[in-house]
Amino acid sequence: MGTICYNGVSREMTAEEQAEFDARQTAYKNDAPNRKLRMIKKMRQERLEATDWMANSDYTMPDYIKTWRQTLRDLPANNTTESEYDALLAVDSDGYFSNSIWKQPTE
Amino acid sequence: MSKTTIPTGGITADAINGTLIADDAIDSEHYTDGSIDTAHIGDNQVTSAKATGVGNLVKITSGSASSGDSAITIAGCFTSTYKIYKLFLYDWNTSHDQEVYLRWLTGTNTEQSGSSSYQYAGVGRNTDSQGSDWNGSTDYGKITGETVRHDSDEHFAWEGVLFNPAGTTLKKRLVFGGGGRRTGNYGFNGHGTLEWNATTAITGVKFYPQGNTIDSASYAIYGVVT
Repeated sequence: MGTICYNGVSREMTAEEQAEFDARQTAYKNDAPNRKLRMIKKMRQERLEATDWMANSDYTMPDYIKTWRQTLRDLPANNTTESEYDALLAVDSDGYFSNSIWKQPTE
Repeated sequence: MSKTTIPTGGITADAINGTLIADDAIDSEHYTDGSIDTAHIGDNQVTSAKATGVGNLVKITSGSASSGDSAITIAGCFTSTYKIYKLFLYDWNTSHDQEVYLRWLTGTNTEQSGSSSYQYAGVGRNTDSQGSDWNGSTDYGKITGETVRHDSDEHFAWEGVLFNPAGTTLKKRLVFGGGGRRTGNYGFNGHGTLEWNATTAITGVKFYPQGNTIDSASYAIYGVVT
């Protein structure tokens, strides 16, 4: 039986609380691939939005940015397994995303 | 002459001075009600331990979770005594990177989990120069737009204002803000609002991570005198 902090006191969960926690935990684990894909799409969207201004009519988007943006758009199609999601979401020892896809190319 | 037979009239006015009164001998019942004025209280002598229900922000409860707890449940903290409550959640660290959720309690300790009953929206920013906006309509309230990083020296801190939890006419409204570090090691902040789509009186709150357990967390709840 797990524990819960109830009015400042840590105590064993009731059967009802344990059942609620177990159901939540099962849903959390089962949703792992979807959750990782949502994070990938969030990261992708953030980077696309950050470079949207380059599509303005008074600016010529560099080809390397066009290529990178297309690669970002293709991420869900080209990565469909949880292990591929894990590779995209890998972090370094400091906790930063280490996959080079997330870094905007400079040239 | 017996020491106990001196009548009051036999004592000269103001004749009994401090030297004739034993230490710790005068009980408060001998003071005239309302007679202790400010001049007779020493500077810095009124401490928080001696005060309750004073000021405009009155502490209702506070506490901390233990490592391994699945949630923080605070029951019976909201009553009709105050129309506005301030909620603080801090030192929040979990066993894995997690979003942070809440649910309201009603009655003695009935957790409210109606489908789409929590409707929330928030805006934020993170140090990756990106937005941390979020919104949803779910069976829980999501109080941050990011997945909170779980490193041992990182924590999520949050405060919220709950309006009229004991009312039964209007739906319940929470306004809040918080910040921490998200997955990917970017700092973030965000603020938003949450509506519980019911008019039932709220009596408590439960904070819990999206999954797994809490490493550390503390909370405090105050009533606001209006």
